[in-house]
Amino acid sequence: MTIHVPNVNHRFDPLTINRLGLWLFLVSDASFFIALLSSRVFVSGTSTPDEINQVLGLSLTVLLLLSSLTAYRAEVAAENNDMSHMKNMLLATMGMGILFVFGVGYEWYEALQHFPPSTGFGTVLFTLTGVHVTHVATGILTLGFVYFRVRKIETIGDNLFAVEGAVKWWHFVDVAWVFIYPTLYLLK
Amino acid sequence: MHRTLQQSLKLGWVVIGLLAIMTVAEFIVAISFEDTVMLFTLLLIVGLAKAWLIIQYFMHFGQLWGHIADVWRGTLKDDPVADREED
Amino acid sequence: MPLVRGVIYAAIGFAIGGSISLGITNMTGEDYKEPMIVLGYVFAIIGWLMGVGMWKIWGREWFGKSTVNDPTGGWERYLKFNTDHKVIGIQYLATLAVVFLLAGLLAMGLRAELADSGQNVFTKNTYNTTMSLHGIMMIAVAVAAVMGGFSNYVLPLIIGAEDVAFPRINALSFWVVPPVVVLLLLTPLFGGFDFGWTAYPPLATQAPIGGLLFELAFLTFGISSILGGLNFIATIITQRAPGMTWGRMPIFAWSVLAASIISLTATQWVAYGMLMIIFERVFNMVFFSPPGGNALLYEHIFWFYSHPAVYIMILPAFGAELEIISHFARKPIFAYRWVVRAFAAIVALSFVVWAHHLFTSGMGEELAVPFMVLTELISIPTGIIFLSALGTVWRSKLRLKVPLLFALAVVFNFAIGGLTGIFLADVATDIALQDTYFVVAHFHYTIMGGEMFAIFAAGYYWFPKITGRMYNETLGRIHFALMFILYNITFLVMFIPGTVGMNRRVAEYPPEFEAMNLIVSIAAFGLGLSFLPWIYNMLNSWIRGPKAPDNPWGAKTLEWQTSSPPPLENFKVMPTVTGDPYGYGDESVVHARFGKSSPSSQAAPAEGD
Repeated sequence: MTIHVPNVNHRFDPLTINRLGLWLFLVSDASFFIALLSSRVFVSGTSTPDEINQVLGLSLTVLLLLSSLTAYRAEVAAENNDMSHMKNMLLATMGMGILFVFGVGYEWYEALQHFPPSTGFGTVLFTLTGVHVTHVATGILTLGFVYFRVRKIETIGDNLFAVEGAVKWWHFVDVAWVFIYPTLYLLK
Repeated sequence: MHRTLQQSLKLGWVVIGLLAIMTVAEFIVAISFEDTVMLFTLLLIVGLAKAWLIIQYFMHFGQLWGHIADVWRGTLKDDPVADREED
Repeated sequence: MPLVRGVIYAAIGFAIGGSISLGITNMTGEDYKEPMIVLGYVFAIIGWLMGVGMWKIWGREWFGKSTVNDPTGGWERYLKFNTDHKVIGIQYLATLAVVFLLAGLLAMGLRAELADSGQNVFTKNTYNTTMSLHGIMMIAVAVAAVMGGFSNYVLPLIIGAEDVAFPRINALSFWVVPPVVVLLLLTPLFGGFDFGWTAYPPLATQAPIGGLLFELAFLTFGISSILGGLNFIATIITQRAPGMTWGRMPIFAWSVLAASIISLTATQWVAYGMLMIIFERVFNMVFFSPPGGNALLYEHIFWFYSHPAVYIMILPAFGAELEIISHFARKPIFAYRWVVRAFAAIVALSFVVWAHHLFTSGMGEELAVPFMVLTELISIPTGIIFLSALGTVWRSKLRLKVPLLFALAVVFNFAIGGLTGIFLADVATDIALQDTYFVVAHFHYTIMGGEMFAIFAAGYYWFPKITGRMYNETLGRIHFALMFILYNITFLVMFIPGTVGMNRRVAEYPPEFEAMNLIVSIAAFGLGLSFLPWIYNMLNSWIRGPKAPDNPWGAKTLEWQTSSPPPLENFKVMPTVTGDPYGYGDESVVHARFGKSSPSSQAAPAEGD
């Protein structure tokens, strides 16, 4: 029983309203990441220990940037009603995301030996990557739910925002990493 | 601004190419500069450029711009008489 | 019963989360208690939300199933996950009224302890827990009563919308509040927390389990605040009735927009502050302890939220105050545009004044003067709002009903609160006044004298709309007179021990302050009792009061143009806004027309200028 039927001409269609809501949430979350990044200098200065695995950091960055491309292609495909390409790209994005999570896991495994959470740099590293990888995990989960929803459909129909929203979230996670990577690995 | 499928896909490759170049540049900057302030500034510039590319072309920030301009005009527009009158 | 189901699911969630955590700590050999509470709590919150109805209305959709959303019903609709903004507004107001009264009782306990210099009621530790609980509960009321309660109820009505932009997120933002209250009330059983509502480390990282519960509660409350702010911004931007241009938007909506921007961005910082403390407690991280860590980090991050937070509290209160003054003075709001700009200026400035809380903390001295200047700059937009209230009253024919009395009291109290704030913004005087009862009195003058009076004004003003019944005017006046006089005695006198150096947050104090404190205590008890007529009036009028007309105040804004209480869809016929909401004294100005608008005006954009 649906009672709450809008009987007025709203100036904005649901897609625009949803986009605005998501953008607002991203602004809010960006504010959280600014707080995280600013605390790095406070807790462990600008120095980066030599033991940090530069190759791993660079490959994680490349991986996440590449997954952004596949996410972008999924969105473009959705807008152009190319369902099979969209599903492939969603799967590819999720796959790279899962690889990224494993990469961070390996990073933690190494970090525990060189700088555990009870040291200044370890505190920063575990907090930044921990919060970020939580975002990545929610992104994978969201993409998974979206994939589940669109797995059988022929045209995109009402599901455009589901795809677009999940993809936007994924790009946001990428933007966050664009700043986290130099903060953790490249500062001196 | 509506793009065709081919244009959109091409744009994706262009953006990821630029991002790749910048990531390499970032890394080179990081190993070649010693001065902390200089390094910090350069990294910040590269980071902001990368973030702008993603936000502008992948996330379509332009969608939001209309709302921001709308609120901004609403705050600053100085025409109370016109608002008071019936139209 | 959704509530019972919520509690059961929460218990199941806690069991799942707790056992996962136990499994992990068993392997690593760490202390099991705090990780178990944190992880169990996260799962318990999810279980609670799903149990109270989020699963039926929202969660099923994630798995591609159909959802059922029925916001109608009798009194049961208030006890479940309900997407109707009017129901959510009442849920907020009822919950917070209870929290307010409880915290008020705690305050009376504190004054009983402080009535003489020795120890009477509490031990030092229970005193500190009581003081901290009073603080955080009142902060929660101050943030959520106006942003959660009145904004939710009134904002969609006042801008002519059917509901907020995201009704389900709105319901979510309410239903995380009950766990906050429960957690806070549980803290005394787990050793309490003695660090005040500000939770500075290292006290906070060393406090017993009660401290951890406090941090989880604050974090959860932050989520509610962020989602609420998000919703109101989206609502104001996208849901205004056709024809409601920015210049025709009631000032209350503007103030909510301003407060929402702060709430959306700044609240994340306090969430991070709480997260840091939890991380330091659970994972032994070193944000605030050597090597490398620094307790100042917490103070910066905390006040980066908590100073803007007072503007989350006070801005909508100002909006409601101006709204009421305009309708009861039958005059347009004086300098409407400048008030809007003042709101914008306050939002911008509120982010760059936080370090005036840190003048004596040992931060770099070079920061002191810039922050002093910036802090004093903020008195300019605040002054504009103040002058607007006075300009609206100027040469008007006031109708001295209870809402207006409270609104005028806001002007009086906030003048004192604002002026005493200057001494705390000045570095030279602040160093002497820091951490004394001067700060306590100042804070209570701005938030209680400013905001709580405005909340009571709003409560009386919108009572007929919310309940459909009229409150008792005489009892309201008695409440106002008692509250206004006793409040002013309590806190005016409290400035005196502050200026001569009586520290706050202490249970025992030097005997020479006894006389002043006794006066404060007696007045404070009177102040507490002055809420009795209010409670009786509200409850009795809600049940037995005379039926209220749809528009008892003859106000022009949209919420009064529908029935009292409004139907589910708010307006039987949707309004089209055609003029200024405050066009009093000019009969030709019509704020809104009802009736079927022509298709051409439907297609036209609302910005009709």
